[in-house]
Amino acid sequence: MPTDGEVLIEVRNLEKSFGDHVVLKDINLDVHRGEVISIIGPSGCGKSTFLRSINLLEKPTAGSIVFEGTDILAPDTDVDVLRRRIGMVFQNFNLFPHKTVKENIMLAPVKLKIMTEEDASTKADELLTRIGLLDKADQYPSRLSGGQQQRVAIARALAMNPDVMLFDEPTSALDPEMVGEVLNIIKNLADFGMTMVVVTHEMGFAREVSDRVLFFNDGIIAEENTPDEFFGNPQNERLKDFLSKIL
Amino acid sequence: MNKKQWITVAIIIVMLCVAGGTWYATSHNDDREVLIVETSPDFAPFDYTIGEEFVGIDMDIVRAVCNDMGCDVKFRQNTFDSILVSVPQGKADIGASGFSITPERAESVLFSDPYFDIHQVVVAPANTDIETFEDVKDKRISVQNGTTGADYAAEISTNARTNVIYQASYQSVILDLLNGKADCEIVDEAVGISQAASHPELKVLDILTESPIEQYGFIFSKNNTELQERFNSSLAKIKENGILQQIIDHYESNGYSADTPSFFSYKGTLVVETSPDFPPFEYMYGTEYAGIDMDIVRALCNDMNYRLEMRSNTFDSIILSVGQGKCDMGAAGFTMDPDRQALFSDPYYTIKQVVVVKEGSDIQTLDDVKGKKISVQTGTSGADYAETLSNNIIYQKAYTEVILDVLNGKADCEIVDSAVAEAQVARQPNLKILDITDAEPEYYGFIFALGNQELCDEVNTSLAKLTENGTIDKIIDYYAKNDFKEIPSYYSSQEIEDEDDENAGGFWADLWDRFYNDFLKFDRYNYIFEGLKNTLIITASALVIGLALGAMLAVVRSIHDLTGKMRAINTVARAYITVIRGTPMMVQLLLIYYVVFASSDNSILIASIAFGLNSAAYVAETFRSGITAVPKGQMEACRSLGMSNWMAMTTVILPQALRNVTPALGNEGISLLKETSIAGYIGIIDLTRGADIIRGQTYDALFPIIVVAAIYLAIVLVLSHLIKRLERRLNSAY
Ligand SMILES: Nc1ncnc2c1ncn2[C@@H]1O[C@H](COP(=O)(O)OP(=O)(O)OP(=O)(O)O)[C@@H](O)[C@H]1O
Ligand SMILES: [Mg+2]
Repeated sequence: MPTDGEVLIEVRNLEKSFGDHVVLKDINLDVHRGEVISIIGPSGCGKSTFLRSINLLEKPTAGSIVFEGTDILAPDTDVDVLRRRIGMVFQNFNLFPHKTVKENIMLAPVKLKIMTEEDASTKADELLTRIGLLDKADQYPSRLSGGQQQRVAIARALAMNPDVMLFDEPTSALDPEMVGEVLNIIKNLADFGMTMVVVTHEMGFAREVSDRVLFFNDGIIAEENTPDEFFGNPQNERLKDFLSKIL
Repeated sequence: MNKKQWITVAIIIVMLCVAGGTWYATSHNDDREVLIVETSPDFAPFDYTIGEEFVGIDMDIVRAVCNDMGCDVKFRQNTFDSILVSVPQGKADIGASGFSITPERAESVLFSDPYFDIHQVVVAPANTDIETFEDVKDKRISVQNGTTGADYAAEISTNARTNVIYQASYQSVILDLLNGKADCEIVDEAVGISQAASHPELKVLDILTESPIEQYGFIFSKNNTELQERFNSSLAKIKENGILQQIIDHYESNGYSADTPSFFSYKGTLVVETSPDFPPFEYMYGTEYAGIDMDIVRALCNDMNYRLEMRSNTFDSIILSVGQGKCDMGAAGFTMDPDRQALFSDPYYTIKQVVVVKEGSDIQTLDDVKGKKISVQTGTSGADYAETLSNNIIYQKAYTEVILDVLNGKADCEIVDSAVAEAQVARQPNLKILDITDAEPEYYGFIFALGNQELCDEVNTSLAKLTENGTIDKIIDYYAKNDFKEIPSYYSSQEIEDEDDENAGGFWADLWDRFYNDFLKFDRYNYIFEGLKNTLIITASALVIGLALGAMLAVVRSIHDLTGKMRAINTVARAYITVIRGTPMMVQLLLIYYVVFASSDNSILIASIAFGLNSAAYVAETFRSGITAVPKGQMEACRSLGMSNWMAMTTVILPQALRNVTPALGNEGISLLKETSIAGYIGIIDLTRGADIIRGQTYDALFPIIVVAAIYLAIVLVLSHLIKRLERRLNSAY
């Protein structure tokens, strides 16, 4: 469906190597507004590297990335401004331990003068209600369970009103019983039309929520399809192998 | 302390007693006339003090009169009432405290001719409703007890018993007015004007037209008509030649305010540096500078009309200090030597080098000295001469240590100027002087900066005058007569103490004597307090500078580590840290004091900066390790939210790093405190230097050093405790 919506991120011939080690060889991808893309692949195949390239936490060695019409690799691009529009959620949450839950959410919008203190507070309350943690507003992160922490991390990214959200294995660090609560939040975001790129090992989730699923292997996108085709009728030999081991 | 040192201490005390007795016996038939003048210095513009100087119309008139009479004045403080007692008893020669001439007083004292006419005024708060003489009658009137104003208030008040408040001092009277305890005050006109000048909330009402016109006079003892006559004739002279009027005009033109300097006020301040461990030329007597050089300098300043400020420095540093204009003149027994980078005054003292040995030494001739172990004070001409005789020389910073070398057998002899040798031998009977050197006699001069010919000439002129009129000889005789022992300054108001307490009181009594001597005598504990204050100020300011600058350096270094940005600043920061950590603190301190801030003499500020700059380098590295310990994800989370490196550092990374490094920073504060103990090298009295000064004065190292060590330890323990608590607080925060 939204494949014919406006193109939000356009990746062409993206290449990234660490020294001699080529991690991404030739990645081409269009992310459309409102689309949810899941990325799966074996460990070390460069999923995180790809995601981190999109908001320039890693600097690509070649190729181009155009975000909302701007070439983000151009030397005059203001990376800080760009990143405000791209939310990122990490495997390890990376909440600020010395700030309360609410302060975590309010910090960036207020410090960057995007919102006033009061606006940010209202927004934070709204987000906390949405993730069901309003009662934890004044707790320090260390008092929260992993699942709760990851939900706060999502809220913190959402506070910036991003145009796209990047998730890097948001549930891998969680105990199994907490995976569901985080995935529910992400599903909920999808329902509201948020554009998302999710690296995940949760095949059920990928199948249920995604518009497209990508299989990364050997530095390229080895297979790309709708969830039903991807899981029901995989073409790539390595993907078949991968799925058989996982499912 | 071994037995020998105990005996030494005992001997010193006995000798001081003897010296005291001798001085007491001789001081009473001294030929110079000194008049003791008592005043109650709370009566501006007539009598008040600025610092330790007695100032005011009375004081200056006494100065002018006595100058004319050809005698010296020694001012002394007493209460108004008591002066009227101590003058008749002959304890003071003159009373000068705005005494109105009254028949009642004239029964017990002699008055000089009047020198000032005065009438009474009312002083009241500016918003008072008093307008006329009639209004005063039923008001509450505050007065100083015993004054004419008091008598007059009692006379006019309708209810004197309840409405007149008698206070002992004018400060209390003014407080009565300011606090509303009295409605007004009755006081001499000039005093009233002066009070209103320093208290804008008060005003003067000149409404007591009926009040008696009175006249001020100085008072003398009833049987001292001789002094009264001489005084009056000189007083007449200064009235005639206009000096008296000039003095009064001087105060009037300054609004009679209590910060008006003396009419004879100084041309300026002469800052003189000395190294007070060189008796009999310069040493500390209690907290007072004493010695031949010091007294000649006092006489010079007096004659040239300068206010004198004396400062301690090490002998070596004085020349440097003079050259840089940190002081005007150096007076520390400087041998006139064309090699020295300074301008010399004409000589004021001639000296020759002698050898001092312990009784029983086998040294007899100059040949015996050759090749022997010789102790000398660094930078003296004795040291230069010793080098021609032997290459086995011990260089000490102070003569106190040179003597100890000879006494303890660490050196076979010392080579020293003859006057100093005499002073040493006077104190240490088991030393003897051998007049066997072939050194040329030398001349002592004061030193000035090379370009300061003007001051040098001025001093030379004055020196010639003082030599001519015998003042210099009198000063030197004074010390010589007392065997060059460490006695109070020629100009001091202190008398040599009678130490008749024979200290055969056993161990505890000895200990107490030493303790008393080290801390209580001459209020020596003040060195410790002053030192403690300065140590704390320097440590605290340096810590603030160190933390602020160190955190900044750490952020620059960390951002560079992370992103490769800020190349240039990072290079500077790294170089800075390398240099600071690679050179001794002591060298940095000297560099900053003598080179970077050569033209400033606020040594506490300079030390704070020096220690702060040093600390910053260590704090920076500590902080950097704390920053490295913060997980990388924190920075990435910040960056992914669009924060800049700097913002991420300051709002997210540093606060977490701070918690990581609090214990290490606490330790930095503690070592900083201990490191400040070298501040004494740039002339600051810090805790350590305070102990050192006491040691130099009492020859007792044990108590001062142990006490200071205990104070350092106590501060460190308190700091450690505070750091622990802070750490616990931080750890429980999140
Ligand atoms: N900063 C770096 N320096 C050098 N090599 C790196 C760096 N970051 C990643 N790599 C390498 O790049 C390859 C891809 O890493 P990446 O983290 O993108 O894999 P991934 O697909 O996310 O794997 P996983 O499923 O384990 O998270 C790995 O071989 C990794 O060792
Ligand atoms: Mg990964």
